[in-house]
Amino acid sequence: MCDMIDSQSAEKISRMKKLRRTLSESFGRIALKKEDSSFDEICVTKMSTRNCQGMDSVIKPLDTIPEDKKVRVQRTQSSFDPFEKPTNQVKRVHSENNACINFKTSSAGKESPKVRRHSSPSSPTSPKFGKADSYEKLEKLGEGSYATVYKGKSKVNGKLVALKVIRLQEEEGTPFTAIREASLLKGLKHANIVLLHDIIHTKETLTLVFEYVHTDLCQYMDKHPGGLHPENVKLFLFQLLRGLSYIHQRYILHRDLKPQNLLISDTGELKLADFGLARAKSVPSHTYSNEVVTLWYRPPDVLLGSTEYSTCLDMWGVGCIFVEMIQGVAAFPGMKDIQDQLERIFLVLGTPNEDTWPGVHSLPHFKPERFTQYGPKNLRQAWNKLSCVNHAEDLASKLLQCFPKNRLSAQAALSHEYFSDLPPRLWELTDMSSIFTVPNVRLQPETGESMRAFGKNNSYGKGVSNSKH
Amino acid sequence: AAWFALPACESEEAVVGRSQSHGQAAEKRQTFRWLGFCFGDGGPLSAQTTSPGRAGRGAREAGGDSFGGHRAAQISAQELQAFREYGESWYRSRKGLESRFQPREPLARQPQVTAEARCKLVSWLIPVHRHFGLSLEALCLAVNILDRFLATTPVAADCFQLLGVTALLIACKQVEVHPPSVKELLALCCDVFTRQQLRNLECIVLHRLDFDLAAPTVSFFLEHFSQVRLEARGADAGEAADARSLAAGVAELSLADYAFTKYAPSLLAASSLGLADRLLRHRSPLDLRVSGYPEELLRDCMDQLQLLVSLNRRSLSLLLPSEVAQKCPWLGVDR
Repeated sequence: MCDMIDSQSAEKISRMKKLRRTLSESFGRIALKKEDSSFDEICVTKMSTRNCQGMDSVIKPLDTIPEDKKVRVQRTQSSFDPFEKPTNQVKRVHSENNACINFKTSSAGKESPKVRRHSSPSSPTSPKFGKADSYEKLEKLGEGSYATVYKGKSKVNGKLVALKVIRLQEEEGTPFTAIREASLLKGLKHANIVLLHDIIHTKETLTLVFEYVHTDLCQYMDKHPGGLHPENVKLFLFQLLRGLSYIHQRYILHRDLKPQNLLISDTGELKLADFGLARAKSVPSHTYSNEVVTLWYRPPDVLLGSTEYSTCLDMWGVGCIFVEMIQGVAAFPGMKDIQDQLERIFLVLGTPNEDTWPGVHSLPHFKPERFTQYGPKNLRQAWNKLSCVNHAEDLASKLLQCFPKNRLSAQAALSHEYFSDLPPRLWELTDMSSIFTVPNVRLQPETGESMRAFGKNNSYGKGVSNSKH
Repeated sequence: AAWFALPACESEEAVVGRSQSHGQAAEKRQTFRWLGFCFGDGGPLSAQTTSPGRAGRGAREAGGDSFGGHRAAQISAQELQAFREYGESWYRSRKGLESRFQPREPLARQPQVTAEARCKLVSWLIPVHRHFGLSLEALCLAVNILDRFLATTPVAADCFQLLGVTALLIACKQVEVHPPSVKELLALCCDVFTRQQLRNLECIVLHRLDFDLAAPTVSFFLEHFSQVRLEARGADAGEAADARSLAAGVAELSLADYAFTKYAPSLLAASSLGLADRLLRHRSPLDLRVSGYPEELLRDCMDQLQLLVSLNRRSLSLLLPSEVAQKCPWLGVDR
């Protein structure tokens, strides 16, 4: 080993040279610009055995590898055959374009009615496309732009599931939303994130099999108009933040938070769903489409054209949902367009300027003359019920910050005083434990007490809320 | 062996293959055509950014990362904020996933695909991803998908290029705002493959990889280490940005070299940054201890990378933003 350290660079180079293989042609013709067809090839290094060769060698100036020692394979126009190995060991079969469906193991499908899951640890030798008939399709639950959701029942264990049936596109193949949702959810195991059981791939459709959760926050609020029970709001918000904190820590943004995407079980468990627009967070230079968040829950920075999203993107939506749960009306139910949406926000929070929001003037759609100048108000002036719950107004105002940087993070929000009367054990739960495993944590009945308790309001508000898109 | 077979094959040993009969060697050669690269409606490569956010290609190009990602200097306040809040946990969670997503000797059981072919394919994917203005992240993911698929499934020579574009398509669907269309990708392969074939292979790849696509990438770790560096006392933002750009170019080269598949992305990222700092003679280089790797591992990887760089100076110069390339006289290339 030691002598290796002293080895001369020349010796090393000659060894490398021997091992080095170069490839030809790869870049050559890929003329990105007609005149710039200069991308030749990438020469590969061939690494020798794993010893400490060169360990101590100082990085040499690159010039120490003489040009003439570089072996470059001549480019050849024709007879390119990179595959050295004899082809006779490979048996290929001619068939028409159906590799996806007609696997040689197609007989396996007849063997047993067992659910064949993507995630099953079964032998890799046979493709195990889950079979759609492992599940009985019950009634339709909803229809989206690229998927239809059905209630379903497992034929194996009788459990209810939600079947999200995604049509594979003739043109572009598997929709990107399905790919993201499946790949992200596979890595997420948390009590407040909807569980992906299974992926079933057939010729025309891709079906994601989720745990069945019987309602969502939107329906729940419609059913209990006028604001939810304050204790329930706290439990829902806590769970929402818990789920978000979990994904944010894992480099994932949800990007499409809205009540419809928060599933609520009959015991009150809240689960984040619909990760079709989510993606692993990628710093810093990607622009995301700024058309992803439903307008009502879209933060002002995105409305103003910022494409530098970060975890604070989701936190604005949390603030809106919080207010909506307490007040019973959407926080900023814009009726028309982006301009209208922004006006509604500024009416409450004040029209931003460089003092309150450094950099706002450089956002693409920020034109000071287009906005009425409003001063900031207390949130309770806009949403009176915030004043009835300790610390609720403070928490809401820390979430509903126009300047993204000032928004509370999910983790920090969980430590807000608003939650201080909850049992401390809630902060010690393991990821997969539901908050309802903690004694004395349970959903309160929504009997309309909340309406009586807080008086007045909101038949008008509900009208708006029902028309949400 | 876990081979994918088309129906009616006589033995267990069949590979993903295009529809084609055995005897048509001539046709086979024809179909394996990397080169005649027809650009269809793609138009010339351009780096100009249209106003961000809006539909289509404009937004994609506005991504701006495609040319060596020379945007580290422009990390927004928001991103820095998120990094402060979450950077460490992102790093830990990504790093914890590395070994699960690391392909293990992807070519060991390939009857036809060789390291040379892989190099050629990736060397082709590099300009292709630039052509579409895609991020380094997407390229890294595509290569990861490619390698992990190769580790599971023997692939016939004549559909290796198809696998390459399929992997790129899947990677783009995962992380890009505007993935290239199937039509565009097929055009880059001179339309020797059909839409149906691409769709089918996409299904097979997704299935084989079990939809496990969120691999940690060199690109992520480059970003992370650069952010760590910016947070350090006395950080030099200009040096950090230059090192990041050069390291991104080096890492891009390493994707094409099969020998580097044995290194974890975080090790490659740290080593690329270390090498970049040395090559650029930076005064305040990244403290490589942040990577948590022992010195000898880093040094070994850096040596290999340096050799790679020395072999590919010209290619590297084309991967770098011109302002960074100008700082690298040793590239010896006039631009």
